[in-house]
Amino acid sequence: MPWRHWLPRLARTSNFRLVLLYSGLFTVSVLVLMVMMLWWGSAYVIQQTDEMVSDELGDVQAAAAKPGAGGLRGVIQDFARQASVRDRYLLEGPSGQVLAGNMPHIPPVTGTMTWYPTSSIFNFWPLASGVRGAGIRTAGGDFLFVGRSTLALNEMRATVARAFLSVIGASLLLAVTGGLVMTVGSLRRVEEIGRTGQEIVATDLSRRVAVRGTGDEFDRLALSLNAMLDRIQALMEGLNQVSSDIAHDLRTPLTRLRQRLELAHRHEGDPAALRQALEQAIGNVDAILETFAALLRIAQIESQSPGIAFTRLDVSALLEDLVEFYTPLAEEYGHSLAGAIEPGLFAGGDAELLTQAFSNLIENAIRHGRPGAVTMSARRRGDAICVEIADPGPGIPEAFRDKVFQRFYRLEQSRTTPGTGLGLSLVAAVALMHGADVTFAEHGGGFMVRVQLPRGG
Amino acid sequence: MNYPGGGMRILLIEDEPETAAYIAAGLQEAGHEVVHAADGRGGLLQASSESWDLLIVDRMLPGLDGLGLVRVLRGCGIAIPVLFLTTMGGVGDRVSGLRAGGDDYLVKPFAFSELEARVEALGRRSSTLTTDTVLRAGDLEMDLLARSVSRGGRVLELQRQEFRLLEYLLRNTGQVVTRTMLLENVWGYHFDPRTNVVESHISRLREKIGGDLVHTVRGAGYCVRASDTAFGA
Repeated sequence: MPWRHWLPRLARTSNFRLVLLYSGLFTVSVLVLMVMMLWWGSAYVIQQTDEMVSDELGDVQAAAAKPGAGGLRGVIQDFARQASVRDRYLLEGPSGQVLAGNMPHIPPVTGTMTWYPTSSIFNFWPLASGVRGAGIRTAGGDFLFVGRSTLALNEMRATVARAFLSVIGASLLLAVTGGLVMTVGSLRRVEEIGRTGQEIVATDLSRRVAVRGTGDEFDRLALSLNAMLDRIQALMEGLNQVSSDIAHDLRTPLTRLRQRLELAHRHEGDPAALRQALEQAIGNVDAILETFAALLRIAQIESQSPGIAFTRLDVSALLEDLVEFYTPLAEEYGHSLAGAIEPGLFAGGDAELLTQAFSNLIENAIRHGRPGAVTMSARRRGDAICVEIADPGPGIPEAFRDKVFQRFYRLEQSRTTPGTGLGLSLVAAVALMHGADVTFAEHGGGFMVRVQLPRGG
Repeated sequence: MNYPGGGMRILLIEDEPETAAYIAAGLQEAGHEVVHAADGRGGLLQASSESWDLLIVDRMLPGLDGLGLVRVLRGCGIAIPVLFLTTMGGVGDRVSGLRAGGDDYLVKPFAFSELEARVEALGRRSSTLTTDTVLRAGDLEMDLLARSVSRGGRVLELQRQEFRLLEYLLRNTGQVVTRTMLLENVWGYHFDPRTNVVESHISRLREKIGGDLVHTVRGAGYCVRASDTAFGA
């Protein structure tokens, strides 16, 4: 890959910026450390020099006091001759003329001081070399100065600075190179995922992001993206299915409606027949509207976030009321409807939706079962409320049990009996919203629907 | 107020001309006076400046929506009964409508008989607020305090639901009550059962109190009528 193309993008990645930021911080902290070391190191060396100079001054004076030493002048000449490159001695007369020593004239200032051979602003530069020492006035009015060159101090400073600067340089180089390498790697993965995303947008929803199997953060990202894509694809397919189901399912009643209206048209002369045809047509339209209302309701339930309209519900009371409500109808169909409902079962939920879902189940049992005993029972089972609706009917054959929750799915394919084919879809939507499980089972020669509703509240 | 002598004065606030014309024509046929306002602001102005027996308000209106309109009215202390019309049939929608100050709520599309029955019920509610403790229809007597029912002096044993059902029917004697009105007001259910469960409750009630009191009104609902009883008992 050409670097011209990569570099600007690399510089824009958050990864690389982070590397730069950390390198900068590292450099600044090392610099601070360096300044502090130089500061304290210099102070130490200067203190040592001052002590040595003070001793030397004492030695000079002691030597001069010895008889036959030739006075201070002789001692300084002697010391200066034997001095190492660093040691400086000076004796000036009262008028400033140099009497002895290995230094040029300096202003006669007593006390500790640093003298620089050239007076300039560069004297503040830590590497400017001068002489550090102490001067005193002798009894005879001469000026005696003993000092040491600051060369050693400067060498120490230069060494420390060199060491630190090379560490900074090396680590910066390492950080930037490492950062670049790491960033290139992750940028490549991210670009790969991005490219797949664009391809999915442009063409094919069935494509998936590549997973390398290393289990790193990119793999995990890819896995969750793929899971999301699976869900989107399933939803899209569901949507397509529903759209075609709606179209297909509305064709039948609309065809019937058209036939009725045509019939009415033909019987224009006969008011009684016309009236009957119109009434039937209105009935057909009502059935279609009912289907739409049910679809809309399911869509509303599915789009609602669970828990939003939930309140603490007395499920026992809700079910008892339903049993009481449906008893006359059940008896009309030749059943008996009985409730075996444990009192005091509470759950968080939407009363209206749960009522409707359970009423759909009871109505199914009453309408599709053979005459006999329909029972609704509810009891506590672990963390759930287990509600069972049993009827003596044939129930739903094993093979179709997965399909009955789909919209418009009906066991009799002829679709001659009334009903929208949406009753169990609504039950499924309400159950999903409540985190409830709906299962089917055989039950002593009959059939049973079991709803397990999470307890709470 | 001149109801139930003649018709009611109804203000219909509905922006869709076809629906408005359909509702106005139907209510006028039933003997009511209907004035139509096509948007929220105009409707609010008319509602607050004239005297009405009932407001029929669409939820979705240009200018000012129905919910806001009724809130403003109620805020001004105007207590005219309000019937909301809406295409939104969700649970929350109905609750928010009633909370804003609506008295009843009807989801479009509806059968005209449903609208008519609800209009009559709301109109009656404003004119005859019954505080009687005994309801009568013919020789049937319901004592609300003693929770007992008798017909021609003979005590009838009614179950809890049957009692509530009969009570609601008697409170609306002479009026048509629809299946949905019964579901909402007797059982508190806001969904449409796919079976004729209400019909079976009515037939059971008829078996106990006699078949000549509760009449079926075809395509609309039920009505308590006793030949020798005056309106409202």
